[in-house]
This record gives sequence, structure tokens and C-alpha cells, in this order.
Amino acid sequence: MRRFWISIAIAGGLLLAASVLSLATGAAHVRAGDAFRAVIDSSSVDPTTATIVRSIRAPRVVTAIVVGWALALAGLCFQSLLRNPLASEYTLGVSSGAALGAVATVLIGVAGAFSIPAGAFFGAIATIAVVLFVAHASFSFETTSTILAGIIFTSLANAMLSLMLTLIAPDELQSFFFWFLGSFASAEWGMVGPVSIVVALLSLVLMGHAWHMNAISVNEELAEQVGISVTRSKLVLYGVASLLTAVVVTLAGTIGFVGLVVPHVARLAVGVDNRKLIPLAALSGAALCVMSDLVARTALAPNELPVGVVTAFIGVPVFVSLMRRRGR
Amino acid sequence: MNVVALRGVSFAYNGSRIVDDLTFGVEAGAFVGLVGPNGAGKTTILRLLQGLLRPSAGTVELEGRDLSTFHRNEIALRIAGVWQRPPLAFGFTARELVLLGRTPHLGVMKWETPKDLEIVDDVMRQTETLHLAGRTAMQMSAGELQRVFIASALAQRSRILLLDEPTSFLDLRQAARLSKIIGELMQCGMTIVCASHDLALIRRHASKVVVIRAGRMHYEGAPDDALDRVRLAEAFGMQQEDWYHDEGNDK
Repeated sequence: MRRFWISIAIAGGLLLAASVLSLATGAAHVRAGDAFRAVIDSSSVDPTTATIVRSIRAPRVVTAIVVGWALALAGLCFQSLLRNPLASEYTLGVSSGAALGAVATVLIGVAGAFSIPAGAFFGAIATIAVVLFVAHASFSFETTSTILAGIIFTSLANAMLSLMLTLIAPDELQSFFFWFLGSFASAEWGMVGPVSIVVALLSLVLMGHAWHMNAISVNEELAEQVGISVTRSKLVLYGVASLLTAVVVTLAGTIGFVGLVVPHVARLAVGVDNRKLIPLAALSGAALCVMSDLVARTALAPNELPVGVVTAFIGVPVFVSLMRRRGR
Repeated sequence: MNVVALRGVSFAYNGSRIVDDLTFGVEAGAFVGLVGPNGAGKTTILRLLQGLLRPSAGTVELEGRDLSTFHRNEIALRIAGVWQRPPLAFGFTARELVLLGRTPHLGVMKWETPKDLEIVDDVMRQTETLHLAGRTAMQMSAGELQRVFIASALAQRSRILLLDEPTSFLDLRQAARLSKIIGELMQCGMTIVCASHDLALIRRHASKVVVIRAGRMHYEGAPDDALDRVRLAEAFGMQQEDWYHDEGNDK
């Protein structure tokens, strides 16, 4: 447990440092100490600084935390369920499916406050159902085949997204790139507040199923033998992972590599017990997304990079190094 | 009284009958040996007994009640099993695998207590796997992994134990060790159903032997009768002159 608490402290420390730095960094210069004070007590700094930090930068930082947290947990969940280190909401096509659902909702013109999240969730659930069905029907449900089915579906969903994007007006095109490349630019308290509560509740459900994930990732029949209702647990876990993905897509579009890479890094630190992996992966995913957003905002300032580009630039070399390590 | 029983049980998969109208019971504290050729349906019978498969016809009874009315956790508190398994994903250590056996006893959030860890240490000592505690499945031989799964089943602390070819990967010393553990468990009142080609193990412990052929009951009776050379040769579809087993050594 000592290793676990040290890892949690490091991930938590990184998240805190990245968040303060992110609150302090931007077009208007704010000192890190002032940024921290503005969050704790807005009256202790001047009103302009308080507004910049609390109303503009803080929602963006919290969005990055929620997105990174949710992506890492969704990836961890899919990897455990499918017993495959390549599984993640991105490689299984769930992110693309959710984006497709969200864009379709906008194009069809469904009204209502929750229409886009509902469309994204429907897209995510439909994707995982189709991917599992195709893998089961065509390839006897081997976990590698599920990844293959996911890659095929991702291509199809991206093609359909491209098709839909050709149907919208050119002046709206820029905002729709959001669904493809991911961005925290449209972050606002009105959206991230309720979503944070949903993600917190889903994290608790996941934590309550951490042991089930352990048993299922060892062997489903063994899980049944030791008293776990595997079908029910898998339904819950696929639902939670799909919902987490839908939430992320609604907030920030499709962002790759966080869900794939973060669980592996966390496993290197604390082993494979999901009871320890869930909190560590969540904190690490959050820290990675806040850092990626900071790089996205500052690397080519005043221009802003899509955050999905940054996570890919960080994620690919990390994943290659993990593969080399496994190979040895 | 029978603690588990099959009553007219059949099981079909993809249209072919793996188990066909099978009826037999297992008394409390008994050791029942399941013997038969490869593909006769022995593993399927064990899976039916543990509720991992649902019969196409007939009923499986546990403590006089239809097994399908039990919750999975209730079954796990009563029945443990040791199975031949495919390789495992991810890097669970031997201790973590044995701890999985404690699942039916863990609380809502499934965190182990010092008592659970004490039981894990006890069964790992009993199965001589304590020195493997930190190793992952990839770092163990098939025999070592088999002993870890035996330890996991023992950690479940159930009253009924199902064994599927438990000695198949074990060396002579570990097979003898397992036989000793089985003897100790039976002294504590454990009920055991064991499918095995290890006739020496069956002869040593069985109070009853069920010989299965093509999913059907071929013979049910005392070990000396059931494991008779003529009867076995018939069940396995072989000529008596092909028999090379040394009955003297079996005993």
C-alpha cells in the first residue's frame, strides 16, 4: 500500500501543480501565487485577476480534469473487460460513435438541454453494442477481434462524420472540428458543473465494481465461480465506460491516447489491482489532460492547438516505449 | 443425504448432446470420482454441478433445492472448483489470484480483512505456493499455476469441492501433496467430486465412482467394481490386450 499512496501523492501533486500553472498562464499574465489565491479567496486579489482566473481559466482547467479523469477510467474499464491492453474508448470506436451521435443530434435539430449528451451516449452505447456483436458474430469474440472490429467501426464512424460535415454550412465548419480533434475552448461552468457530478457518481459505481473488474480480467468463468454475476457486472461496466466516454465527447470532442496510455502507466506504478488503479488512473488522466491543454494553449500562442493533437504527441512515444518494455 | 445431485440432466451445445439424461447423487462428505474417455462430458458435468452451465433438460440440485434458484454468491459460498484454464491476461500475482477465492466472503466494497489475508497465507502454505506469492502467471510453470488455483479454491472455504484433472500438471511430489490435502479435507467433512484420469488418486479416495461414456452413465458403483479392467476397457472403447496400466501400482 505504501507504493500506492506514494503514487497517489505524485499524481495528485502533478495535477495540483499543472492546474495552478494553467490558471496562471494565458494572454494576461497572472502570477501562480495570485492564481492560487484567486481560487481560494477571490477578494484577496484584484477583481480583474479574479475574473480571469475564476470565470475564464478555472472552467477550462476543471473541464480538462473531468475529461482526463473520465477518459482514463473508461480506458481502464474497457481494458479490464476485454482483457486487452490495446482497448480504449478511442480504439474501440466508442469516442467516434459518441461524436457521431452528438453531431447527428445537432444536424437533425433535436431540441432540449440534454439532447447533445443524450445523442453522444446513444452513439457510444450503439457503437459498443455493434462492435461486440460484430466481434462475436464474425470472429468468435476473441478480444483481439473486438479491437479489430473497433478499428473498422472507427473508420466507418469517421467517414460518416466527414459526410455529415459536408452537409453543414461552411461558416459552421470551424466549430465542428471540435468533435474531431478535441478542445477545451468552449468550457463553461454551466456545462462542466453538472457533468462533474455525473463523472463523480460514475467513478463511485466503478470503484464499487473494482473487484469484479479484477476477477473478470483474470477469467470470466473464474469470476462466476467466486460468486460474481458476470453478465450483470459487464452490463454495468460497459454502461459506465460508455457514459464516461459520452460525457467526455460532449464536453471536449474526441481526444485520443489518454484512455489507452494512462492505465498502462498506472499499472507500472501499482500493479493490476483495479481498486488501486481506479483512483491513480483518474488522477493521472486528469493531470495529463491539464498539462496537454497548457501545452495546446502556449506552444504556438496566440494560436491554439487542438488538445487531441497534443495528447497524441505525448501518447504515441509513451505507448511505443511501453510496448518496447513489454517486448523485453 | 445428497448435497448435490443431477436428476435426468441433459446438456446440448450446438445441437449435439454432451450430457444425456444423467442421474446421480453425491452424499455429504463423500469423494465421487468421475472417470471416462476424453470428450465424454466430465468437465461439462462439473460445470453443470457448479451452475456455470444450465441444463437443457432435468435439474441440478444443491442441498435438495434447484441450483438455478441460488444466487451466484450463495453457490460460491457452498461450492469451489479447480479447473484447467487458458492463460491469464494482465499481471495478477499468485497471492492476488488466491485472494480472489475469498470473493464470496468479502464485504460490499470487496476489501479484504486481516482474517482473509491469514486464510490466504494458510492455504498457500498448505499448497506450498507461499514462495510464489509475488510471481505473475507468466512467471509460473503450469504445475505451479495449478497449485495456485487449488489454493484459490481452498481459500473459498466452501463445503463442496469440484476438481477437474487436478493432478494433470503436477509432478510426483505435488500430486502426492494434493492427495494428502484431499485426505485432510475429507477428514474435515468436505464433499469432493473429481474428474480425473489419475486412477490411483480415484482409487485412494473415492467412495463412489461414476463412469461416463459419450455423456451417458456407463457405470456407477464402488471403486473396485467401477475401475475393474474389463469395465474400464469397455468404457474407453479399447481392447483388454491394449491395457498397460499396472493395477498393482494403482493400488
